[in-house]
Amino acid sequence: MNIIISNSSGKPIYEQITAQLKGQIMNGTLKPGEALPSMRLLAKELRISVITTKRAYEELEREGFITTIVGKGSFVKEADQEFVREERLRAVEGHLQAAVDAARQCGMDETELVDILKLLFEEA
Amino acid sequence: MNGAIEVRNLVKRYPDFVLENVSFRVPEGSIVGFIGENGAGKSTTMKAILGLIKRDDGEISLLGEPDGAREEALKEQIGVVFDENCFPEHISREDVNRMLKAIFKNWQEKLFFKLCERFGIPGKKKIKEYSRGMKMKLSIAVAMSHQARLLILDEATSGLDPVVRAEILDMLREFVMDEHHTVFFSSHITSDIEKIADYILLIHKGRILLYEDRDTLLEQYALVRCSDEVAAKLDPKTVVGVRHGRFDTEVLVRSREGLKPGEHLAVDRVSLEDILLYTAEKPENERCIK
Amino acid sequence: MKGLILKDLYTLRQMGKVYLISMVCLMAWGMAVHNSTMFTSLLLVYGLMILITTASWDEVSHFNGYALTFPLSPKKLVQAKYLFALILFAAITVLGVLGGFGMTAALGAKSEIGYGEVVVSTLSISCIYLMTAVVVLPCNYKFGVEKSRFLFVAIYLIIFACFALLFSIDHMKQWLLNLGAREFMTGVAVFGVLTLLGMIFSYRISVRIMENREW
Repeated sequence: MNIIISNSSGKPIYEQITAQLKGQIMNGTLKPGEALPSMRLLAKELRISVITTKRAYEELEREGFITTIVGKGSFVKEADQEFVREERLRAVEGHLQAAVDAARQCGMDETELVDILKLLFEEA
Repeated sequence: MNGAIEVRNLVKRYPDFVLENVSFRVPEGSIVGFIGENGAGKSTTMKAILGLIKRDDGEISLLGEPDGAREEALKEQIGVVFDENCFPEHISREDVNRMLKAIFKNWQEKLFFKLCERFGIPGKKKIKEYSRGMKMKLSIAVAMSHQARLLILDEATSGLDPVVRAEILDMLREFVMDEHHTVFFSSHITSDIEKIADYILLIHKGRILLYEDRDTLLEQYALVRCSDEVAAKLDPKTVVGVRHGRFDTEVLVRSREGLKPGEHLAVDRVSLEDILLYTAEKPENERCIK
Repeated sequence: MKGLILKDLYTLRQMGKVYLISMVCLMAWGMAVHNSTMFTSLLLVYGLMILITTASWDEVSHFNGYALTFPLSPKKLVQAKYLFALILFAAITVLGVLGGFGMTAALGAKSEIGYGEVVVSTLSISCIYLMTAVVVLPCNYKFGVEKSRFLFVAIYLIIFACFALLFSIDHMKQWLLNLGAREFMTGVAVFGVLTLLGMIFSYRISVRIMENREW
């Protein structure tokens, strides 16, 4: 399992960890029921504070991706089809929102944006 | 969760320096970095915690024991590293082992030699033949070889090269893998503290100015550079310190919220060194903590 | 405490090698002049030097402050030092007696000193060592080793001057030289008791100094 942190990306480190772990859970790299490295091990290996890793894990637990059992560790939660789809929808929505914002900023209208979207879909 | 170290209203008066109302708590399982310029009171605080100097006021509780209880027994569980080797220099690591075996109840000979090997501390040679880094690593090996739960380091990385310092930081990280192990580490090398601490404690002229978790400090605090006029408009509640330069004004703020970087406003990540410099009131720089 | 004594023994190990060689030389000298007192007297100097050197090492390496972060109290530090001083006392006495006996035996009739005298002179020297140690140790704790050296030299000069003065008075000189063996033995016994008392007193002062000290 890989977790790559950037100190200069501007994004808080715990967010980077949360995002990467989420991604890996979503695309199946991390299987349901799989054990995650302990907060302290992660902190030691990545050379970051335990508070950071703890925060990342707490966030993931809050969002329903993992479950932490005291004394045993943290595990990937069973994939709930509905839940996974929700999450994916949310990600797409977020990207689209960014596209809409950018379009508005430069004065593009809805039709132009939809055209670009169609083009991109065809290319893929 | 108990505090590994709890200091309440510590006061110590010297003719030309006063340590006043120092209070803080080092949570068990954490690494707390203690920063401050030379003479700010770091060593005084640490010596007070260790009972090497007498206090004029205040309470100190270590590892959950009430103030003053079981001092000698507690020391079995506390490993201390100073900034220099304190053994006579004509003895070897084997001599050190024999000495400490008789002093500590839980001295771990095998672990000690294993650590010495790992640190590259030569056998059968006298300490005076060690390099500075080796001497320091010996002290650290000693501190980690008697089942201590709390490590206290006072400027233990001063004067060491980056390679050795990185090794030492790694050892400390490994030490706190056990959540009942705690590290309290003072240094004026802020980059070391920045790399390893969970919490930052800042002392200046005998008073505690700041005690924050490192992430908040480094991610939310920011160094803003702008013109005088823009600086004046910043929310005074978030302003920690100001420096008026000839061509710009630098402001240390507690929160980067609402700040939009642009041509006339640069917002940068702050480093511990910046924070430390802002506390050293130097008239030439006019940097100061408000 | 054993650990602390070990530390001082390591210093002894360090210095002992040189001293051992010079002691052999001194024995040879003693044989040559048919008198073993020189040998015994220098044991006194060596004993004191070793003791003071261990204190000096403690100071230079800031060991005591460090040691107090171990499960040790200032009292234990003092106890270890005094015990070491007593170990040196025993060593001086034993070496003095053995060396003296050896030389007397080897010299046979030529020796100026008899076996009895060897014992008495060795014991006196050992007691002088102890008396000095008893004064020097608290001074080391209070004023530091370097300043104490001056004190130590000054005390010896004063004592020497007193004796010289005493001897210069004919009356006193006659009286002293006429002292019989029994008076002399009593004198030595009294000196021994005073030394013992001095030790206890000095130990208590040292403990008090160390407990009140800040590191």
